[in-house]
Amino acid sequence: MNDNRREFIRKTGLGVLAGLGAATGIFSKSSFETAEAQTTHGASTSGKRWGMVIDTRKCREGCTKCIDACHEVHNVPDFGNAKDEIKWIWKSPYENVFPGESKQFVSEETREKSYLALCNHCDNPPCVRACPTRATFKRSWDGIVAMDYHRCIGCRFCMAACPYGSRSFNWRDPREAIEKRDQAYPTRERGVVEKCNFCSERLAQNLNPACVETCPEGALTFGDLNDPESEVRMLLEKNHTLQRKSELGTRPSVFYII
Amino acid sequence: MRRVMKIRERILIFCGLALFLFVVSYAFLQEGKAKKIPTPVAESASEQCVESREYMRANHMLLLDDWRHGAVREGERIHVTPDGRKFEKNLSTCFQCHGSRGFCVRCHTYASAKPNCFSCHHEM
Repeated sequence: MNDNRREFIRKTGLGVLAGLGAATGIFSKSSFETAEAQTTHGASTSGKRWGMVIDTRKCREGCTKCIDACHEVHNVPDFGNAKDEIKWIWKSPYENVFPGESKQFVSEETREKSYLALCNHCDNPPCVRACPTRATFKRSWDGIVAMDYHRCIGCRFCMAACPYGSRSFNWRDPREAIEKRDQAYPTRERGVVEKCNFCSERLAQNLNPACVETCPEGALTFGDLNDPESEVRMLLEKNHTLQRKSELGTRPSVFYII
Repeated sequence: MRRVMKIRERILIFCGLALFLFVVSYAFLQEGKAKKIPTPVAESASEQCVESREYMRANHMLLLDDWRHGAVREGERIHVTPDGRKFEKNLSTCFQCHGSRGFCVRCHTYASAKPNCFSCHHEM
């Protein structure tokens, strides 16, 4: 009787082990595949990939023309306090824009200057993966990370996922703080997240983004990163450039000439 | 004395009956006086809409949903009608003929439908 029981336990144990082995063989492959598909979320090699090169040497300290133009055409509210702040494009100090690049003995000019920051329209956008409603998505035809405000439920997962702080949440009705409403572009609702859209409404009319067009120094260059003949690719070819937090693997489409 | 009381009672009964009949038939007497269903018409009537009038009356919201999906998520910003006319998928395209949001509001108020398009889209 005792021997029988021992035999039974041994056989069951072996059976369970064999079963587990077979299960990992069957299931693990497919789960690995989905994980891989997610990490290369919509990475595009075909079609356009809009990108921008910011020549920080030309960017004038204290000039906010691009920011003003962008915020005006997109009805971005200005509440005048940091908590309610909505920003599509803004200026930040070197150590905030390039935290990984802060090495010893950075030149005073670099330290003192502020740098333009905006949504990087990443080739591998973490915000898109975080969005539970697919309100934010990468456009397959031109690589822009777009927002569908109709779908946004205001959960702010995308804000937590974005390593660049490029997204702002409408805590209050933005209409209260829009100085001059541009009738050509919609406003947003309280309770949705918003960010730079690379001026997709202007691109549809074959116009450059508002920031690029207003910069008096020509510090911003916009173009197709997938086209080797484009102006942005020429600049990338000729200059040493930085991407923000490139170590995270988000593959930003905004490049900086320092 | 007894007869008089009877007549008085009868008058009371008939009055009550008349009141009752009036109250019951009141709703039927109002027939034809109800608020007319608004039938707003495009301001430039010469041009034809994207779809037939009947289709637009019943399904304009589906078409707008379709336009939104196409323009925002698929990048198809141009609507081509079966007879080859082209329209930009944009709320302001509607208002080129339909004037103002007052066009929408008239029916929506009647039907107590509250679309929230105009809290963000403010085309006049």
